[in-house]
Amino acid sequence: MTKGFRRGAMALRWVLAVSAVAAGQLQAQDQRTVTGVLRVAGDTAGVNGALVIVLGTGTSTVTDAAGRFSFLRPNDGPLALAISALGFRPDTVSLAADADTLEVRMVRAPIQLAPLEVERGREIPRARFEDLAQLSTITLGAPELRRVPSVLEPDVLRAIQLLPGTVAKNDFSIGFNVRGGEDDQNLIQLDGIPVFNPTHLAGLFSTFDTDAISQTDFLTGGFPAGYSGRLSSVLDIQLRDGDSTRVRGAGQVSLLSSKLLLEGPLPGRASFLVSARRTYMDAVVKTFTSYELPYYFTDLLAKATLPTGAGKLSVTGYWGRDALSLNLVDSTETADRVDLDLNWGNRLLGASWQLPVGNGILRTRASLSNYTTTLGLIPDLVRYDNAALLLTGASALSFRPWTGHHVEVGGSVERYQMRLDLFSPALDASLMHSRYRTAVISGFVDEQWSPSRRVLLRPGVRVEHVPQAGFTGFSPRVAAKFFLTKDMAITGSAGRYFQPVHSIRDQEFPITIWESWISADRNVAVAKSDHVVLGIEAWFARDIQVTLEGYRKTFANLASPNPVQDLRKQGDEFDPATGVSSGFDFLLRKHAGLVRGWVAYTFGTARRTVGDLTYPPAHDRRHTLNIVVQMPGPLRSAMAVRWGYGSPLPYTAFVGEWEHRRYNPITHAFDDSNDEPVAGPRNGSRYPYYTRLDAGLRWTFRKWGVTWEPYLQAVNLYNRRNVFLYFFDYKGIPPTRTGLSQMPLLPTFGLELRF
Amino acid sequence: MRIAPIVLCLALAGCELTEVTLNAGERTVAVHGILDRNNAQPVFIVEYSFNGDTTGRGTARGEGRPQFPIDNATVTLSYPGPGPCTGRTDTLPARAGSPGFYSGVPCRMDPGERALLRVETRDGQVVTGETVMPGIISPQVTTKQGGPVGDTLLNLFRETDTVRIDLGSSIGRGIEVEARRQENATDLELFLFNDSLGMSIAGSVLNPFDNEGTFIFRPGRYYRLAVALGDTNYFDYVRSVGDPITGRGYLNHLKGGIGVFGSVDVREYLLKVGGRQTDPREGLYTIDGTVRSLSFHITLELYIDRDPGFTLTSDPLFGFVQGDVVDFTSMLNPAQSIGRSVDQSGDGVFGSAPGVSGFNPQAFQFSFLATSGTLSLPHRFNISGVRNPTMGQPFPVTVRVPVGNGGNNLQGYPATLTAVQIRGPRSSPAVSSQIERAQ
Repeated sequence: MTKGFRRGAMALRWVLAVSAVAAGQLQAQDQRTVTGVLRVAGDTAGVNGALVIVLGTGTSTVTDAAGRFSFLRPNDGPLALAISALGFRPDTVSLAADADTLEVRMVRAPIQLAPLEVERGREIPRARFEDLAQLSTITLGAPELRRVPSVLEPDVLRAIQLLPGTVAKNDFSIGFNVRGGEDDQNLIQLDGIPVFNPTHLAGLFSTFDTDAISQTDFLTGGFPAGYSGRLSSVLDIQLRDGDSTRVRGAGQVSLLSSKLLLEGPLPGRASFLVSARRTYMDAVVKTFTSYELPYYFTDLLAKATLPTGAGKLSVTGYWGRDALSLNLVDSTETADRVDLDLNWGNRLLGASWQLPVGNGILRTRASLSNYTTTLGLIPDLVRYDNAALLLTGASALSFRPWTGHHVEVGGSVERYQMRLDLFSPALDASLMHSRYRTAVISGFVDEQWSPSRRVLLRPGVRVEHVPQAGFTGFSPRVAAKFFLTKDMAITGSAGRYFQPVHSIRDQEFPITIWESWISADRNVAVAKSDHVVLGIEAWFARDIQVTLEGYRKTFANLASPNPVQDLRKQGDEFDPATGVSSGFDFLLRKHAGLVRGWVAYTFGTARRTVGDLTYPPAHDRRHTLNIVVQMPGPLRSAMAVRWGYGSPLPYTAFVGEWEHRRYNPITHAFDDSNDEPVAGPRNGSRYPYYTRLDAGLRWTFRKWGVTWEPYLQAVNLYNRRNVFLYFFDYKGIPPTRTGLSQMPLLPTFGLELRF
Repeated sequence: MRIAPIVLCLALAGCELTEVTLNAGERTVAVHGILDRNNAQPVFIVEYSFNGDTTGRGTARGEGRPQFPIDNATVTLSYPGPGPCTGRTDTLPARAGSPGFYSGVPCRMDPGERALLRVETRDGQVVTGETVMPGIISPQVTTKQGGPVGDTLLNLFRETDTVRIDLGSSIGRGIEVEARRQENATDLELFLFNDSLGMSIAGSVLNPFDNEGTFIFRPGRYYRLAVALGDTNYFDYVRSVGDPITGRGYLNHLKGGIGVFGSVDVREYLLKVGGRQTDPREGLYTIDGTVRSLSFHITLELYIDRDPGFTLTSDPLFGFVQGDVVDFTSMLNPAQSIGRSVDQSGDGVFGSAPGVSGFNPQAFQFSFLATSGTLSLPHRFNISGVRNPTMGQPFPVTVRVPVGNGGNNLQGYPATLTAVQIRGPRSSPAVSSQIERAQ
């Protein structure tokens, strides 16, 4: 294992060395890059999608979600930049000959009051449509995330569940399945740091503070060569930088938790952002009743950003914890205290450094992602531990070698250390003791090529080597776009993807309390998936996007838990499973205006095969429809409405019960029994269809120097009893079926504030 | 287990769905058959699963009895070898008067030998299975205290001792350990299994899910400790359960039906549990007298053992009984009563007794079911009285042998005897360990 790590470290040094050499060569061309940021005057947020034109040169660019932009300096003289963005007063600024960075504060000018027609920059999806061959990608900004009706408080993963290509199995889990893949096939990363289990409270809430999010990119398939590690999707959550001009704050009080966000400047033009959240029901119960609620969760998120010349160094950290501690036995003279302890949480730490190099940018990142689960009868009866640690070093250089070509080359070394222990000190028994130490050494090339005005191509390749599994994978990836008109294009992509980690949780269980992770080695195979996507994308009236994409995916070496595994052995935890899924996604989205939102429809089929058994997985939903509308509401509110429909999901119906009798080895007789189900065909039945209407109202006003945003939300407005689970009774005459519904009508309220 | 909190939370949230009546489900043949190396005459149960239809429901109900027995099935065992049973075929006939039960004397297999099961019903349904006989070789089952009688009696000092089980060189898949009251083999106190051939059990182990924690082992009690080594089928049958949500989970190795066809090798030990004695009411007592002109002389070694969450004013009492009692062979004919010896354990309480009003810490009642020794029939003996707090001073106690319905009628044959506490924590600073060693 140590040998593998050394080899990984050597590969990282090799990647960095190659990058440095390439950077040196490019710097020798003596080109300078101008970088800047546009911020909202009096606010911390960046101006997204602003158009920056270098007057008199033909050079232009568009800001990203954080308001950042960069371009190659067309000459060495002073420059004049014309800046415009929807909802802001256009501005023109100058840049001295010896300056290569600038920050501009843009003044808001609401378009409904402006008598002038304001030219605005392109939305990110529009820019992606025009400039990139990258399919199956949806971007959500912080305002959209905050306004999507959710459970108790805004939640990024609840919003993701409403996008095309995704299936949410029930209301009680923020888990999602993308184009026929399992939950554990979704790569969820925060500022580039993978998060193993981004959930709280048995999967009911996510770990991310929407106030700290700048932008969320969701890739449902055909993702480019720069991404790796999961088969089915990438959810790339980017935190915003803290305000570098003054200290600001934001807070929220909901029925679930309270949180506080602070941001502000640091010496050297640096900035910080810190967010903390904690549930408080345990404290409320303890204060006002004689009972105790032995559960809470907490998050602590922080980011620091430091400009380094023309570059930028960012450090992101996250610490989260769910803790349940139930005292079963008090300590006495004759017995020690015994607690049922369940806690899990993520710890993330990452640093990224962006450095303009010639006409390109070198991005280097090092990160640590640690996830632990402990379940035990503490102190010494029985204890289950799962720890997953991922150390990553990565570097990528993007540059334009020739006109019409944009190339990114990079590599990474990932080191997984997974541990599974089930042991009982009281019984002096180790029931499970598994160790996985896996290195993944990878390199990639990804090119955006515009051979003509009508054609965009994106060839790429990724090579991944997993020494512990004796595995080397070659992942060709290609995407193409052919413009029928300037507003309509035919799109397509294909690629191969590998996944070296698996969750051993039964992915068919309806909720995700936690994941337990292992990684590939000589016994556990690297999973594989091939994607083919073909579609069409069209834009109307500059801000209305329509996409239709058909897909087919195959899966191999999926990890299906082996029910008869021998806990003494490492390597028989899984039966290899294969699978196939196909379908199409439709998205109609309005990006701007007083009324905005989207209609997302997905048609999908999925199958899994384990041994001789082929069955539909629990997320095999044929039709999924979600309509999200954000618009002005009554009483001068901003209103958001969501209506969702899901066709029936499969489940395993029971056809009887049997008495699982207990053998008494002393009397040699069967003298006791438990009633257990006799299951019908696996996932051979289907629940009724699902439908739900949610609505939320939000008001914004300013008082005492603070911006107040109270909100009301209601989930499942018509209180439909969507089925969560069925229970069967075949011992009764006649046999009966009862069950539990998903979330009932749930009105909630809360308050956000900014200062 | 994992469904319980979900059901609770959702039920509280008003998420229960309306009950719906279903059509009858499928009938599955369920077979339970265990070949035990130490049981020459195994009993197999062949029955139908429940499907919501009463057709074929048997009239004999009760624990262990099939409600939908399958009669007239053909149950055969064959032995493909290698081993002493190679080539033999045994048929287990239906047991008369017990529908669904099949029993016989099959060939005694060697460890490692295979057996094939075939069950065919009158309707032509066929269930098959295969098992490999395990074998315990040179078992090491010990406590620190050890035992004076061979290897099968183990003394366990609850606070400091550990039962260590090591079947290291045996042939088998995994072990199952059970502890049951000596007096009642269906009273399961401890059930553990492990995916290995060894295990250690601390004497002070708690069951945290019973009330607010209860001790598994009580000082003053005998336990029958069974160490079973099973083949894969038996071990999977023991360790797995069907999940009430997914329906999966039970590891069924039968074809054509559900259940188990496995084999097991069992060793049984008698565990005598002692412990510290700190309360002056604990200790050694003698009870003497005459009942029906027969000598009645027993010693009681009593322990008070409170659970961690115990809040009652009465103190639970446990104890060993040794000596001579009267065997009421015929309740109606005292002349047939004869003297017998017992070596038992029993339970009781300090704080109350029949005829004593209110709480009295010296009042006690103690009961034991005499099943061992030379008794012809099991009898329950109830002893009660008010203890004399002065060590060595006699006090009267009443012995009753309940008769009638369930043995709970306390009117049966009372006798007044004399009790004396002869040892206890006040009599010696190190009395607890001395008493333990003395036994």
